[in-house]
Amino acid sequence: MGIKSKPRKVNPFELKFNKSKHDILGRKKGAQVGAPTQSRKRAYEQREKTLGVEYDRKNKISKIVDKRVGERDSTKTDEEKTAMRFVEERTKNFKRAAKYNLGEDEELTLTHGGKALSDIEKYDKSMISDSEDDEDQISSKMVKIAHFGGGDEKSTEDKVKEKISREDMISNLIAKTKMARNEKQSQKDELEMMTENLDAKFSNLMQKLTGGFRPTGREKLEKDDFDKLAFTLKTESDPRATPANRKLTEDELAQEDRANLERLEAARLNSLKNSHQSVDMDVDVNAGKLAKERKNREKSERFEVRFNEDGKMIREEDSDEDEAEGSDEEEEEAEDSEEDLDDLLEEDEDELESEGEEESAEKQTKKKEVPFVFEMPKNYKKFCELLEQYSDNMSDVLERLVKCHHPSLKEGNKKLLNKMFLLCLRWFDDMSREDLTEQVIQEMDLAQKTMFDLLKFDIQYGVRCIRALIRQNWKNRQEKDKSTPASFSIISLLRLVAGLFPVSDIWHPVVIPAFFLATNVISNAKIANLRALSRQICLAHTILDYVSETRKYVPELVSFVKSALLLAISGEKEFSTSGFPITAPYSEMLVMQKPQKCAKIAPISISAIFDDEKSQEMSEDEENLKLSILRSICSLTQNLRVMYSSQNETYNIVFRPFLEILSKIDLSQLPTELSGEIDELKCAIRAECDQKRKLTQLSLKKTEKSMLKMLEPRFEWDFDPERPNKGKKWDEKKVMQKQLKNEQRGAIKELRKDTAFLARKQMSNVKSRDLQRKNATKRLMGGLMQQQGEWNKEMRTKDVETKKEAGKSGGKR
Amino acid sequence: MQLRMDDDEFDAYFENGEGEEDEDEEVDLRENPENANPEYELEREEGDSKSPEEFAKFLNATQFADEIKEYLKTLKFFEKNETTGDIVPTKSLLKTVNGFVIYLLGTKKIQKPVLKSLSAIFGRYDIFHYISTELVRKIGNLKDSRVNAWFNLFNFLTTISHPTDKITKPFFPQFCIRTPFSTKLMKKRKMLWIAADWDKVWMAIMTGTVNSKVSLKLIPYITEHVISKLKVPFKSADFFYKMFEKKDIHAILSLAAIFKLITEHNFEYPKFYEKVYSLMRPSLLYMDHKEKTLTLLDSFLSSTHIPNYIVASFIKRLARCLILAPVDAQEPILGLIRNLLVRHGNCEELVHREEPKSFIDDPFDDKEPELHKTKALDSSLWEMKLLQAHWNQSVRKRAHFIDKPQQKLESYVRFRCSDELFSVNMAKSFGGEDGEAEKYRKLQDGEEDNEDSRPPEPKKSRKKFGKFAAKHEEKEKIVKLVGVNSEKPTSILNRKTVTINVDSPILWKI
Repeated sequence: MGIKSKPRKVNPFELKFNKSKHDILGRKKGAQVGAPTQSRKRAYEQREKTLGVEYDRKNKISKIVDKRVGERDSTKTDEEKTAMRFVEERTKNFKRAAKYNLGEDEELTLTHGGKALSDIEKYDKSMISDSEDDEDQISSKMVKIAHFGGGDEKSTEDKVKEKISREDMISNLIAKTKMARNEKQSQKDELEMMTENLDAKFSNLMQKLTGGFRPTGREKLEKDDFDKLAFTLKTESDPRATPANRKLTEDELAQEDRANLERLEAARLNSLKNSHQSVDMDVDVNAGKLAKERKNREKSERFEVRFNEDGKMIREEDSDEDEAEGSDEEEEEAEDSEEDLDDLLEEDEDELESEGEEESAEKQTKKKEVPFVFEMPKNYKKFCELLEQYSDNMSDVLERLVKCHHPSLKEGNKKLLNKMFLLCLRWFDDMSREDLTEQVIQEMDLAQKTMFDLLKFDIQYGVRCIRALIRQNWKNRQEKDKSTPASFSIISLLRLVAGLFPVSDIWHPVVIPAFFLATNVISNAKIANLRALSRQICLAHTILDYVSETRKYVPELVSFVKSALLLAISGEKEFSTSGFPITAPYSEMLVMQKPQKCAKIAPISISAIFDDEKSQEMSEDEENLKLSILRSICSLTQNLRVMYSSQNETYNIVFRPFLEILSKIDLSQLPTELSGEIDELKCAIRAECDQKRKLTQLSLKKTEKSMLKMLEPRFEWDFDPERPNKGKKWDEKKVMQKQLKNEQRGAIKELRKDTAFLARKQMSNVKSRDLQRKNATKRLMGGLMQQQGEWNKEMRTKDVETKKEAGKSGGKR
Repeated sequence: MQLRMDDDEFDAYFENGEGEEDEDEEVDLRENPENANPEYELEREEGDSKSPEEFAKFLNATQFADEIKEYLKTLKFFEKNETTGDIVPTKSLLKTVNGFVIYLLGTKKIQKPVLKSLSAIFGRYDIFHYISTELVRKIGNLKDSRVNAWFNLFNFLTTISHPTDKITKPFFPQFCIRTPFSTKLMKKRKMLWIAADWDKVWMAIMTGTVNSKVSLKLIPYITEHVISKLKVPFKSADFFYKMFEKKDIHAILSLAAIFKLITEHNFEYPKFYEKVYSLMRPSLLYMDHKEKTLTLLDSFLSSTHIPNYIVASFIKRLARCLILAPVDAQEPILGLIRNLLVRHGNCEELVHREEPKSFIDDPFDDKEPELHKTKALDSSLWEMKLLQAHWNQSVRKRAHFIDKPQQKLESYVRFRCSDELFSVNMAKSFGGEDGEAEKYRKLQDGEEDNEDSRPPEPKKSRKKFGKFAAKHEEKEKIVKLVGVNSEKPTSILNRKTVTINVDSPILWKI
């Protein structure tokens, strides 16, 4: 230590001085003086310690580590080291020996349940209480007296006595202790008994509690409403607590319905039987008929020979198969493309015609009661027959048919229901072509209702059917009756569509085609007479229903109404739709020739205008019809006016012409009721027109273009133009780069030096080995030479001796 | 033969095709060896021939070209005039021609294929020379009520082509060698006199009283095929004026012809656009021939040099018509209006005005016949606002163009008749079905739809290829729920209009 701290004496020849030629301001000066040899030596030593060691260990797997105590501590002297080693050795030996030395080990405490056993004993003692304590005291006293009798205040007599009765005393003592022990035992038993008893009671109680209650600790929380309620529900027999029947699913409901119906049917049949037994003639006849019919059917199933279209004989089964195939095909086709409804409907047209007669007999005996369970009719004819049979309770029949064939009940029921939809649609369509009576309309309503019910089972199929019907109507109109006015079947179809489907949808697969049909009819029909006109007006009202909610604009409707209104004025005019007559008597169809004084205007009779036969009757009160038509046109106009009142810009454009036409109508000829209505209408339109006269030219609403985000310029207040790159970040970066460069350079240098060192080391190794070998050779060679020399010497001496001897001998001789 | 060869050399002057024809003639001649002697031909006795009426009946009965030829072979067509020495037609030829004309203008309608085979005989230029004079004479007296006669005439004439298009083979060389047409002079001026014949007949038709049904077909045919080939096209204008008076579709069709005269033959027709404008009425859109009308209108207004006031008036008038027009007319007219706006940039004012002004009432005067007084340029297309509430979806979409910036390019709008529209709507897929039909439909008119009905979609992320591609692309299934009413339907007759609070009296009863 002392040596190192001493300033080293430096050899001035080992120093190197750095001389700078120019001083540059602001540049750091490096070290002025350096000691290259010294530093080189230091580096060498360092390398020797690290790299050198590593190099030496190269290719060596293991190494010897000196683990002797204090060996590496250079501060200790050898003596100290040996002392340390001795101590170490002793302690080691001591420990090994002491392992089996029980007495000297630390005290062990026995525990029970985590508690020191001694504590538990103490606790037990306290339980046993004073009796033992007393006994102990007594006994110890006794023992004291017995053992250490002398030296006390006790009298000698006592001592004598004591001496005498020693045996007695001992026996006495023994008895005493025995007694005490007995007592203690009995006491202990009693206590045990009691605790056991209590334990049993407690466990009993606990059992009860765990059965029903929450742990008692929670009881405080029971103030909560929910808890109270739950508690009451648990304990008391609240009707709320007992579960009701669960809500049935749709399928189950259907099943129940069906079961219900079947039960009712069974009951009905039963009662029928009973009444039969009580000799009821009517029913008897009926039952007989039924039996006969059944027989007939069986017969026909077996023996009936029928002919198909080609004239070939076919058997019943075949035809059935055909039918089945047909229905399959129908489905497929329906999926591929919607074919004509005719195809859909008429394929089972000509089947089972032979049965008509028998059933006509049945028709006459109208049944009062309606059975509860029905088979699905196989074709349209049967369907009609079924309905006719129960013409009073059609709605019941249809409802029960639907219920009996709920799709959840059986596999093929969905198909049957689809078929039923088709049948209903056809029924509806057929009805719409018949003479219109109250009855027909009712039946159509019923069909509509049934279709509505059926639609929820298979919407797709229903949609397809109705679309097919629409398409069929469309085709008819395109080909045949291009310009006939709307028939009732078209109008009722349109109304059916409106009844089943939402007409306000943006696009609907049924409604939009229906709309096309309606507009086509209203714009193309030729209006030749009043009847045609009133039909078209009826259609116009239907179209109005379609758009009343959405307030969509229907140009065809507007132009129709406008053209229709033109019929009520005389003079030159131009119709907007093409179907209206141009020549004079017809183009003034609605102009009244003479003043009408009809008190009340009758509504238009639908049955009259759609029936060709009744048209003759109508011609009689043509004037009345004119009035009611005019009135309905006015109502149409009124509706249009209200409907399009939201169109601010175009209201004038659309309704001004209407106003002009209305004001040209000669009101003096009309009854007061109608003229009043027209006046009202005129006023309303005029007022609305005046209100909406103001127009503003159209302009493109320019959407505000969002500005590019402009950033405020950022000023650096301490900007120095001479060092534009100054700044903390930049400087740091620069410094880092410089450091990196330096480090890199240093590392390269170091590595180079390392290699140089290693090379040197290797060289020196090689050299030392060479030297060794040389020395060895030298030594060997030296030895050998010496040997040779010696041998030579010996040889020489021998020679000399032999010569000498020879000389000697020669001399001797 | 020697003579013919000379002629052939001369004919080469006309057309190359001529030579071939003459070769055919020679073939014909070889087929008729008994006709070899031309002098004999002219001098032989004229045989019996059928009177015109008989011939007409004969034509009516047979109608086979071969039979007619057989008959014609028995005839002598030409003879030498005793005094002048010219070759002149015989009576039997004239009878034949007369008979044909009578047959043609008879009461029976001749089927087109029959007419075609007849015209292969009688349509040849040399015999047509005689027929045309006869026809011109007859057409003048032909009444317009004879529909079939007019139709026959029209159909026959359509089969006869103008010499600039095609020169038919001559007729007579099949039967005799020496004809008036084989003289040098006639050969030389062949083109001229054939064209003159053709011209003559058509002019006769145009001056005649044409049946209105026939004229519907006649006018477009004349416009397309005849006008430009007439010697003096202007002469046809009279006919078109006459047709224009008939109003409606005739007027439109004749306007097309006049338009052609104006554009191609420098015809002067004042107030042409006023005339067209006067025809544009909503009732026009309710008639058939909508498509024709609209394409014509488009072509009338296709020039970019039409003054703004005219275009604006037309746009406004069309918009007014739209308010009362049927569905099938809506889309094409909307497209036309938009195209007009694109074509005439200044008319954009009608839709997008920089500084919108307010008015009391629309300044546009619908009833004003003078185009420059309609004040259409001050107006705006408010009508489109109404059409934006049209019941048909595609019309609604189309009418929305006024809310968007002006398009750069015109777009083609296909006319679809109501039947097509109907089937398009029927073909739209609805719930459950896969959208093949839908896709097809979209492909069909996808271009239009993409263009104007939807705002430009944001760029789709590019489809990834190679190993980045999605493994199995989910097939898109278009499922549209089919809506069904929630409430039970009421009676068929008593469906009340719910939303409109109009107390209407009871109008209907059963």
